[in-house]
Amino acid sequence: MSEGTAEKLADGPVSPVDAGPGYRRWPRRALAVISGLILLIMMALTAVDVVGRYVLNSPLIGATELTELLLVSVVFIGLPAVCLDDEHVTVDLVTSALPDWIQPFRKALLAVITATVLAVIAWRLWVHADQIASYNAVTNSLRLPVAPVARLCAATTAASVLITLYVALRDLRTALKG
Amino acid sequence: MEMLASWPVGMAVFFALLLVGLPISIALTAIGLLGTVSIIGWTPALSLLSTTFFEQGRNYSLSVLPLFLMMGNFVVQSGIARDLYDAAHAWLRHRKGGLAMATVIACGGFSSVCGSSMATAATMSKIALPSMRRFGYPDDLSTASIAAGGTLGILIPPSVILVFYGIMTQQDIGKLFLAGILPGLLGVIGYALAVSITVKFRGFDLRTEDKLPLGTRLRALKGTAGAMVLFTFVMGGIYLGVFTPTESAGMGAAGALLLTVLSRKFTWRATFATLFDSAKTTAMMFFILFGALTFTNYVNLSGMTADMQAFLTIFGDGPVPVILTILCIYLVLGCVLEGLSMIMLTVPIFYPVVASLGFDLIWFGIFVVVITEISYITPPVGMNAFVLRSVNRDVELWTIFRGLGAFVAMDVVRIILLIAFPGIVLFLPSQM
Repeated sequence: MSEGTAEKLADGPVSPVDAGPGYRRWPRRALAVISGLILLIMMALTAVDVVGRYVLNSPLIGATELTELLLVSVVFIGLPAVCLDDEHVTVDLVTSALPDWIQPFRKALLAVITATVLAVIAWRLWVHADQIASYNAVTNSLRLPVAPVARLCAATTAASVLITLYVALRDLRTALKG
Repeated sequence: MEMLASWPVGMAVFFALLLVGLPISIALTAIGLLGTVSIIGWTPALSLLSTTFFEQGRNYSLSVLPLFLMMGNFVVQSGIARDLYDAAHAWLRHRKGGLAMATVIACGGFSSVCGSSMATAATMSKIALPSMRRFGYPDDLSTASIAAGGTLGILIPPSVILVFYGIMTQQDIGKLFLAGILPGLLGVIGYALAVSITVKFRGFDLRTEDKLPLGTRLRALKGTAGAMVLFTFVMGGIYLGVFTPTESAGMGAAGALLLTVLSRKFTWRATFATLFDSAKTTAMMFFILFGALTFTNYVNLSGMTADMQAFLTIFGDGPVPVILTILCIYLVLGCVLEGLSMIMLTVPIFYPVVASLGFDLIWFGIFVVVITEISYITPPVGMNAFVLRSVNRDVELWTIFRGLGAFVAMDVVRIILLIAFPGIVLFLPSQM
């Protein structure tokens, strides 16, 4: 994790919604609000489920399967945000010793590898969604279709491919200009 | 491609990719996938990939993770750290080195409601460092006490790392959490001892304050009520079997949100920032997990587990030589990898071997976490020292590592105690 991450941790949760330099505001805002709402709903679901079970003697039907679908959604909606803010965990033991002029080119090359791997994942998730859709998979008690969630995951992963390339290109251009 | 079928080649390429700075999640996925392809071919390997990413992504037992992350982040937002530090300060301010001891104890308290070492170290450094500086504590002692105290975040429950360990080894997360409590307390005692040893042997002449009257000290404890209630509620619920870990995490997150409201730190803006941070950390960690699971498929197919068993028993197949060999491997890996990545990479490889040699997997989980704690405070990667450094630019990294010597020594003692007396780990979970 870079030093920037540590600083953000120390400054507490005030900074993250601010857009960094060179960013438009709305993509981060949108990601923040959607992923935030999903997390709040997950929290509320477990709370209502527990209170329902112990106090009202009637557990929430389908809480488990809803939680599962929300979990995978928040993971895959968080991915473009991680790519946007470049918050992947990396090892910088060797690379921090390299000369400065190499860094933008190194990062651009790594972004191409990252984007390729993410593209394969996006493609396979879409194929997986097709398979699920072909046998009409639904959740146990609420009968919610699973395939659209898999398609959402494929779509956000595809978006992450574009974001990764965009961030790398932007940084490379800034470096070449500066 | 065929070369990857042999695991030493795969491992070498993996570490090479890591060292040039490829994100660990991507490196794990790439080598895991290509390695699997080289052994079983494209079609089955690609279908394994989508199953890992989507089906593990909606694994119910993993929902405990974002909820505990939320709880920890809300606790940071609530400003509870200040109250914890003030209380410990009130009780220890008249002792030599008392402020550093108070820091360690406040870190321990904060860890009991927060599952991350970095968050604990970063939050505490904002609060404890200024007051230690005011009283003339040398930077190496004060930063080291925060960095070391912060490591308790991953041992004292709730702990993000123990959740991942539990998932990967199919161990009960509740039991793992209970197992972390006594070794965590042992850690607090050890670090407090490290403070007094440092003060005594380096001959620091630290200013102390007047002893506070008992009434004032008792009143200072009031601020810790929030954290105590939250911890008792969450862990008590798991211990008594009232909640599953996921439910206790959800209730804990709701309780922590309530704390931010009660301490008047609730604003929609700050709350969504906290949530967004939790979501990003969730995604980041899950992709490392997915990568590690993809990599594990490859490791299992390549026959690495059998080779590893032969390697780990190289100095004999008794418990002590095997554990010492594993300890050495972790100390080397800890020089390159950050804690969570190290655990996700190694645990799937080690745990079948360790289990077949008759070790308790709950005990092994705590053992691995304590080693990870050491890797957080030793050069060259020492994450917590980096956190302290990036929050306080005027302190040299070397100063922090120098101060950490006594704390690391105490950790070594703790590891030896855990190996000699496994009951320290296993007593509480056996009561469940």
